[in-house]
Amino acid sequence: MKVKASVIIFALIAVITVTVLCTCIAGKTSEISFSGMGTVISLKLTSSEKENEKCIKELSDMFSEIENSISANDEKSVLYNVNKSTNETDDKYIVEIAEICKDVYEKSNGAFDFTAGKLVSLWGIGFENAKVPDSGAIAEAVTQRGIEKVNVFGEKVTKSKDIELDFGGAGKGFACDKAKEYLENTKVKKAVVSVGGSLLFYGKKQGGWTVAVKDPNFDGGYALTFSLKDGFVSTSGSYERYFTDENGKTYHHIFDTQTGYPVENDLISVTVVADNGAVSDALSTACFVLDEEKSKSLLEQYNAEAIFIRKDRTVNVLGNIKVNCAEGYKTVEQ
Amino acid sequence: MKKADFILIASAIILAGIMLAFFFNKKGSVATVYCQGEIYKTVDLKTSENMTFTVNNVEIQIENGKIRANNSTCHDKVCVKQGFIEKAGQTVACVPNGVVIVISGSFHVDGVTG
Repeated sequence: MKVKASVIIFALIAVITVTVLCTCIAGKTSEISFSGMGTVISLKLTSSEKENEKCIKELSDMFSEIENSISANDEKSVLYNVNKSTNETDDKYIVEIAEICKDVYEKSNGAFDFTAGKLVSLWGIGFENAKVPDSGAIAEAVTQRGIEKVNVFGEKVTKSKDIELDFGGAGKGFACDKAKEYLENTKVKKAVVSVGGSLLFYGKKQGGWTVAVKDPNFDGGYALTFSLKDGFVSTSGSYERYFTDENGKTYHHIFDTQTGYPVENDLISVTVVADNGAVSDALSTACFVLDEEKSKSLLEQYNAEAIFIRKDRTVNVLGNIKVNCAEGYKTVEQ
Repeated sequence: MKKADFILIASAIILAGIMLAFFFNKKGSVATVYCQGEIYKTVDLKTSENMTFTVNNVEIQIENGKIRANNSTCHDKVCVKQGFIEKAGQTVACVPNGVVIVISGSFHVDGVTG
């Protein structure tokens, strides 16, 4: 029997089309956003539809579990209870995040300070009761902190009773770390996890992942984009949470815990890329407090890179990241 | 090649094209606002909050992933009458004020930090 060339071509096109479609269905990308950990969590997973569904459910449960441990504001959380009464815990999430936070505190000479929970709640920035506290209360709160008052040892965290711990500066990145550990035991090939703007890029994407940094001066826009192989990205910015007093002065939520007041410098946001989520989150705060020059050696110790966006819309990169600035932003000459 | 062969192959290609296009079809999500021929702002409609801003006498509104010229000082208000746009390729232009909004397919951003 002689088979016509046209029939063979027809069959080939049909087979290729069906194969392409089947590949796409097997590697379906599911996207979902929900509220959790006091912010918005977004998941983008690529696997089979069934696997995606299972992972979204389990990840969402895990985030609730983390929040129930490390939230400083939820009256039912383990940390709240530690801060207000017990002063010690063996909670696995608290022990793990405290170890990382202690390390960043020490390497940054306290620029990242998770021991100043009392100062943070005194100001209440991000909450309805935000106000400039009286100077006496601030002076007292700056004495109620310090790494020497926390002990992380033998799967246990203990603290002196005059301080409160606050993992807000590392918690979102920490949740990304836990998401990565979880995904490693699933069939998910690629994923993007966003916990309030702290990001995990999991798996390899051809041409790399494209990361955008929010425009601090314009809601909904991007200040710049860059490409990333994989890893964690976090940003701290003075534009995220702030309030303005009756004299028109603005106070943001990143504190110099030595003075008790929000940090005042030329920066508006700092984005850090690292191979650990909690570290990237904590470093973004530490680098904001330290400013550009003093951040260099800290970043080197963690093999991390940072993008500083200044108030004058210039961008300074410490590391090898190649950024593409949006209209209105430009990188500084090195 | 006979005419019938040609029709067979052509229809296979068209069908494959339609199937793939249908599968990959996505709503346009990036709005670029131009003022006097220069980019004023690029906004990802998928992630943007609802907001209103003014560019060169044209008030632009973003709401639920759509964008429109909400108000303008121009005489005929053609731009305002056009209403919301949301699909790739759609445009709104206020010629007297030199403001143009163009929606393009995708921004190719995998994650947003900040």
